[in-house]
Amino acid sequence: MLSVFFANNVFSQQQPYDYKIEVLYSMTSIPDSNEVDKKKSEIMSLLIGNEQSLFTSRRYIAMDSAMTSELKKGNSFGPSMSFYEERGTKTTMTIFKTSSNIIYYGKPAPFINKVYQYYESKPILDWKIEDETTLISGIECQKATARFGGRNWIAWFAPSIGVNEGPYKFSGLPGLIVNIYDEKKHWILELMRIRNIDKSLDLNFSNIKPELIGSKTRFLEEKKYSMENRLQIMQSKGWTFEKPMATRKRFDKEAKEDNNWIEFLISE
Amino acid sequence: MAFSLSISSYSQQIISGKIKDSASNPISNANVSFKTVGGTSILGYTITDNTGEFELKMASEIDSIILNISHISFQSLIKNINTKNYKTVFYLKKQIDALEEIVVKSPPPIYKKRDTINYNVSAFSDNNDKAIRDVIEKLPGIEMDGDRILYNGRPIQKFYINGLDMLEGKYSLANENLPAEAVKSVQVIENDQPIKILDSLVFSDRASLNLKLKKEITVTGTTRVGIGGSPLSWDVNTTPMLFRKNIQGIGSYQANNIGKGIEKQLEDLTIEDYETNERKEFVKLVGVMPPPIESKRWIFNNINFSSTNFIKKFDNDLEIKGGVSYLNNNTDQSSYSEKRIFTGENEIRLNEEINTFQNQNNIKGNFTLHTNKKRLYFENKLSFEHEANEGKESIVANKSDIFQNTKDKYSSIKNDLDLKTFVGKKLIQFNSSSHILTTPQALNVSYSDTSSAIQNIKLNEWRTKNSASFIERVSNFTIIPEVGFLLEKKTLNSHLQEQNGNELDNNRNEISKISAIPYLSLGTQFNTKNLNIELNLPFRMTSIKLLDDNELNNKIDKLLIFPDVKLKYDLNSKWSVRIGSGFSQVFSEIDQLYSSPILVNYRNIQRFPLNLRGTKILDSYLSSSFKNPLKGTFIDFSLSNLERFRDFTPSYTINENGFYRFNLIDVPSQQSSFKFNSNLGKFLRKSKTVLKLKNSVSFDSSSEKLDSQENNIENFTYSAGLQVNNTLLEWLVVDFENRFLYSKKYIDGDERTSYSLQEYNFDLSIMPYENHLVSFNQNYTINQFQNSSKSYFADLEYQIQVPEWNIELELGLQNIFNEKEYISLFNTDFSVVENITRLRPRLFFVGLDFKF
Repeated sequence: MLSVFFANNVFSQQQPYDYKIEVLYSMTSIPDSNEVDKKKSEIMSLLIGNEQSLFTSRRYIAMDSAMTSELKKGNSFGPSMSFYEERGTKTTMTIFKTSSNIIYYGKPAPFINKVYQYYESKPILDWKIEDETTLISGIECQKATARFGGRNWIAWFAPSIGVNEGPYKFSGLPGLIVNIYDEKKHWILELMRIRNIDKSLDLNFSNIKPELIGSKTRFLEEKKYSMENRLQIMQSKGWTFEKPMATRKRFDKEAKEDNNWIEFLISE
Repeated sequence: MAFSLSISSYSQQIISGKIKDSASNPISNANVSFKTVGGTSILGYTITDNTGEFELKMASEIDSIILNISHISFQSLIKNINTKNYKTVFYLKKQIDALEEIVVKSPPPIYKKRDTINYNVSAFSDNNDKAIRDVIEKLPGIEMDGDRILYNGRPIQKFYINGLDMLEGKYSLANENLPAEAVKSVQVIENDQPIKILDSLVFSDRASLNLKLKKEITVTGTTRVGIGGSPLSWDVNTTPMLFRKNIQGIGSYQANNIGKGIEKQLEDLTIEDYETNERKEFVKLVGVMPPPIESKRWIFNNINFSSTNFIKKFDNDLEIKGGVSYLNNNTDQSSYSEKRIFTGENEIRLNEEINTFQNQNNIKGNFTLHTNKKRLYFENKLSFEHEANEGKESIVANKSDIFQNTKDKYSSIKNDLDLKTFVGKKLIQFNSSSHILTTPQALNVSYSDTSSAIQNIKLNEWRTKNSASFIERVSNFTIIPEVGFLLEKKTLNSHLQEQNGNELDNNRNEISKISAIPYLSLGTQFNTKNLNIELNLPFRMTSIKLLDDNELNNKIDKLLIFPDVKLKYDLNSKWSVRIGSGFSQVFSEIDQLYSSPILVNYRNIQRFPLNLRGTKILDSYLSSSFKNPLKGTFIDFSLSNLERFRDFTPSYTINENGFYRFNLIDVPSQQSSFKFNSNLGKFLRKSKTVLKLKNSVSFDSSSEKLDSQENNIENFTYSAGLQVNNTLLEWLVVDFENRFLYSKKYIDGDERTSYSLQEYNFDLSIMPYENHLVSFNQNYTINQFQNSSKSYFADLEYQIQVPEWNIELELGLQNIFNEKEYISLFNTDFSVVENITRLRPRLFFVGLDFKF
């Protein structure tokens, strides 16, 4: 059975895939760096299998599987509105990690009905492990730091949990990353729970076929463009606005307030 | 790819190796890290490549390291190795034990998963909470009616601890004594079908409660020793508990004379129908009317209580459980009351100064065999009870002295059997329930004019009810045809001897009531995800015979149908509606079937015409509930109507001394009651506040006769309650409670009396330093009648916790202002009573609590 894994130097992730461990993190962020009191948080799920991991919003998985099962029943509208109200999310970031690659999927902005996909080759992180150890919720953890996406990250990993995985794109430490945050604490990912599972998952991105985009930079540029030209984009799709000037002002304000992405756009 | 910590490239050494599984296949993506011997932090690490190979660089001074190899699917390998030109192959074994599961963050305070609502105890508890009851009381969506736990306004069906139902309905023992800190979450399971074999066949609309403990194996409980004065007072309680996966036990010894009514811990609290009271009291002391204040303020008691309970679940799903408890309760109460009785145009006044002493001895036990499997359900419960009571009462009634005493006993044995199993593809069930009881009762009254009376009663009763049915599901319908029979015999013997001077009056009753009711019933349920409809149609061939002195006096032979229908509809995950209606008919009970008089107490004598009178009952309700657990919002309201169509009219004859006779007259009459109830519970997460708001309106009317004049009596009651609990600050807990009650009585459309009660409770707990707690409790009531009375109580308590020794020292002062009496007002059918109850004096006490 193991030989299967050795034979493939997989370029892409496999789906469906059997995951063995579910790790839940709470992801807390400050979307506007000028308003540090306005926080956003979401429960994120890291599913770990033998050779692949998946990190995305727990609600996104639930939405996706509800959508898929409704489609199988022939209901193309998907689950009811109340389902979205109760269990919906706008967080679409989805990251598959294999032994050689990191594959990112996500919408550039919530109002764009497109899922982009880009690849990064491992390693993307140059970890410095430090001497410092501490107990986090009873788990012995050691400190490691790395510069990534324009931020300085501080990670606490647990050598006793022998999985070289972590949330978001973070991995490659000799033990599970329990907590990770940037030095300004604008993005914080904290362990909530670890559970043994035996779950085969096939994520369908709410039935949108992903489009390959050249690189992370291209994706972030697309994201920036979408936020800055939201009115025109929406108008071009047939939306009409009663007071376009006022709407534009609001959209610009919202774009301005969304200035603290987990990875910054660093032009190549 | 290898990473290491601060090593100069000039003095490095490399160790390398290869990692394989037991079949010699290489393992890639394994973590390889090292520490120095005795070191705590990892100095360097790498991940094996596709050929399972690794290389670790390290400073050349290091000659021995601890190598740690780990992988998601294999057991970790930790090896102490010598670094000198080390190159070897390591073999990993397949992982057998799953990863240790960890929950770091506490879940949200309230959340719903399938049919279970989880309340996270730590989000609701504060420093002042001792037993889990203190927390349950605060949970939004849950109400407490005395010791009874209600969800959506209805009593819970089961009280589980870690999924086991040890105490059955007598859950108060655990609820009052299980320390709140041992409990992780309180779960309410809606629509709980406790019988696995009926799951998805028979719908249940009742809710159960489960306490999920923090640890799977819990040894807990408290021991409390308190002493105070004056007079010399004590409060002792030791209640050890053990909870393991398949065995649980609770033992308890409690004694106090400070007014704690622990006898309530023996009550069955899951019964939904309050009217099923098997006890018949023919003679009864006048007693003290309980004022609407806490028992610790007015009950003068000396109580001893002990109880042992256990449950053991075997691997084959067989459960045995049992319990025995003993209670000795002595109370000594006194009160003064002024009663005004309205007889037509007149008004009679009765003043009574009462001193009552009661002694109760009760022993109760039960033993149950139970198995609950997917294809077999079996339960046999055997229970017994024996009680012996004595009471003495001295009364000064309108200036004449009366002395009366009672003696009564009650013994019963009961067995309930329930078997459900599949025979082929059919689910068949048998139920059998039988009991026998005997209760001799005696009353002895001496009046001041030297006349006296002795009343002796003996009631014997046996009853057996057996039924067989099968359950079949056809698509969304479940059909339950049932056949059964009920046999019952009640025999009443009474003897009243009255002595007036030299005259001796003898009155005897020898009555038997024999009921034989074979029945056929068809139950139908229609269940879909959102809609449940239940329709029951029992046909009862009712045959009741009444024998007086062994001669047939009266009988009924009738085919009766008692249909009832229930509907529950879930509009969405938040709103649900219940609606139902049922019709039934009952016939006079033995306590209203005797033609020779029975003396109930010194001023009440009763007799009834010897015929079987029927009452038709129509009971309907409509209720709706809303819940949003994540937002902490719970709303429920209900409308209910109970109509009783009686073949008779209750009648009272009252003489000028206020002595009365109760009788039933063969004129049909009607009694109706209408009730509206609403409850709102809200948890405000940010301010850590629980808000509860209650409203209820009731309207009752009944036609009754007083001095042969027919009267229509109507009662209107409105009540509202507000409860606020705030735990925002660690060092301050604020509890506020307000209750308002307004009641009006009309006789034949004329407003007779109205009264109102306002009650305010304000409790503050302050933690000035860690482990020190000061609580100040205040209670203020205003009772408004023609004149108004106010009372104010305050208690102060200081607690010091010594966590290292698991003890808590308590200094308390109860009733600081030494209030001596409490004036309460009552409205009964034809009278209003103003009652003055003697209160417990100021009490200083010292208590020591040990936790284990």
